[in-house]
Amino acid sequence: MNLSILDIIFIVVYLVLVFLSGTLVKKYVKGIDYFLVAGRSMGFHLGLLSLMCTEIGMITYVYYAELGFKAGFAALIVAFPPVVAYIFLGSTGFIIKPLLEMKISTIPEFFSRKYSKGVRLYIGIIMAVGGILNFGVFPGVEANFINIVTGIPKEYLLVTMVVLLTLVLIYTAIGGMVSVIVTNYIQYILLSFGMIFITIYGIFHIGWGNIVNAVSTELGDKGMDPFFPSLLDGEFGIGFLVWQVLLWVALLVGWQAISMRLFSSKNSKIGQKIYTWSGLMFLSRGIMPILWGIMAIAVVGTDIDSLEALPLLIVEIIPSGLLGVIFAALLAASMSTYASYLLSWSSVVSQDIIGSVVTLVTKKEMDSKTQLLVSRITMAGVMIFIIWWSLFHEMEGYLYFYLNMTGMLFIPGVLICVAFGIYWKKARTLGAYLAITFGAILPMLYLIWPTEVQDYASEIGWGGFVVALLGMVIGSVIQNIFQPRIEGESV
Amino acid sequence: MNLWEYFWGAVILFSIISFTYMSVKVVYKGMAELKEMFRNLNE
Repeated sequence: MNLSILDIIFIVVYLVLVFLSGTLVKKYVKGIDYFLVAGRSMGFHLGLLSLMCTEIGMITYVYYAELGFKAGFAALIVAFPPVVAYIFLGSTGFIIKPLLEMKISTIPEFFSRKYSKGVRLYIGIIMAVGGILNFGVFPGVEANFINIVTGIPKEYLLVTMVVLLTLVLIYTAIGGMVSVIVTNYIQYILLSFGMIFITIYGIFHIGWGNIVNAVSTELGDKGMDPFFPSLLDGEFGIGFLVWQVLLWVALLVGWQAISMRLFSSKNSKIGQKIYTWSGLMFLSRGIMPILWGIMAIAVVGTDIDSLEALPLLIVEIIPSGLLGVIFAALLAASMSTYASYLLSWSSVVSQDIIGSVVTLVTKKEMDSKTQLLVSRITMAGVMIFIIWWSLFHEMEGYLYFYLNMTGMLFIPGVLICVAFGIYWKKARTLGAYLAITFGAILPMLYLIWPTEVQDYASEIGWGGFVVALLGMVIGSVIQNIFQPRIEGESV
Repeated sequence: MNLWEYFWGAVILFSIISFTYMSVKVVYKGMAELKEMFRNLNE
């Protein structure tokens, strides 16, 4: 074991504190709206903090560090597209303002109001598949990380992950979004300390000159210039940037864990403000872990598995007395993401799939108590699935691209359907079905044949949005010709 | 030192300072909002 008794005591105290604060809020959950969006009572600072906790997990550190480890300083460019997307949506209110004013709890809910219940069910299924496949690699990657940092033997890792996830499941299933926000507060203090400490300590411990030299020696100009050899042909060139900006705009609209934070805010003004300022915070969310991967080049060399670069760096540079605090900070990041993702993806399954089917069959909606029960059972189901999936799924190519592509299964369709549903009066149900279907085809190719098509990730990325747009236009035009909307018809 | 090195150095410095400042601010002001949220949920 790499942890001392003091480290272990610190970690146990942190886990007990989070667990207790997460479970004691049960009395505030008076119905499904409290469970899913905390009664829409979240203020600006709390919203910002909670959003950061959701979107900074141990997995975030690992995939960004992998990029830095493989591509050097050039990979830092990856941190900029989310900044552009957040500031654009937050400052203009494009798409998000009308969504906030509709007071919906999940994105598929928009589809039933604007298109049809069938479209809601369809997008709910694709969203659940993409989201859970994305979520499904977290335990495997993080178990490996924990194994290296703590020295817990591999045979005990499954048990460790199950215990950790069960703790998260219990407090999330009991208190829903209220628990998530409360535990996020404690977790953010640790998480932000850990990020700042590793970054500053790493730079001083390793030395800026040594970091730059290591990148120059191992990667040459390619390690510094993201557009090497040219803006058009560079690994992080114009095609990649266009795709990433589109992807992030779409994620901020349709990624359930993010949009649920938006829907939990008190009003649309606070929602927009959270997004604008998140842009600044998201810059650091990318820059710091990518830098850790770059530091690893100087400390552990390049002859290792890229996903192990970050844990090996931490073990190498963090003094043993501080390892417990840093590990608790990493655990905080991990648990806050698990809690939010469990809540998010299970809400899609319970509200948009099971709820839609029940409504279609019985012609009436489930009552709030039944919805709560179904949400909690679904949450347990999602947890069991991700543990099972992570046991046998093997990663090929960049982890970052795998996570992007699982999201891309529904993200282009969601963005096009939501944007056109709000701003184009001629958008129709057939257009929505085609946009969702067309948008999922290209990313599916990447997920089925990652090795064969990985050189075309950027083209697949922005291409997904183009074909989704074509689907919307073609489908809507056809439906408008053969089944014109009746004047004054409400959708 | 080439231009990219200066640029990335400045970006890293900016991200450390801005993240530290924003983190202190959201933790400090978030506590008051947390209390207010519970007051609202209690009503």
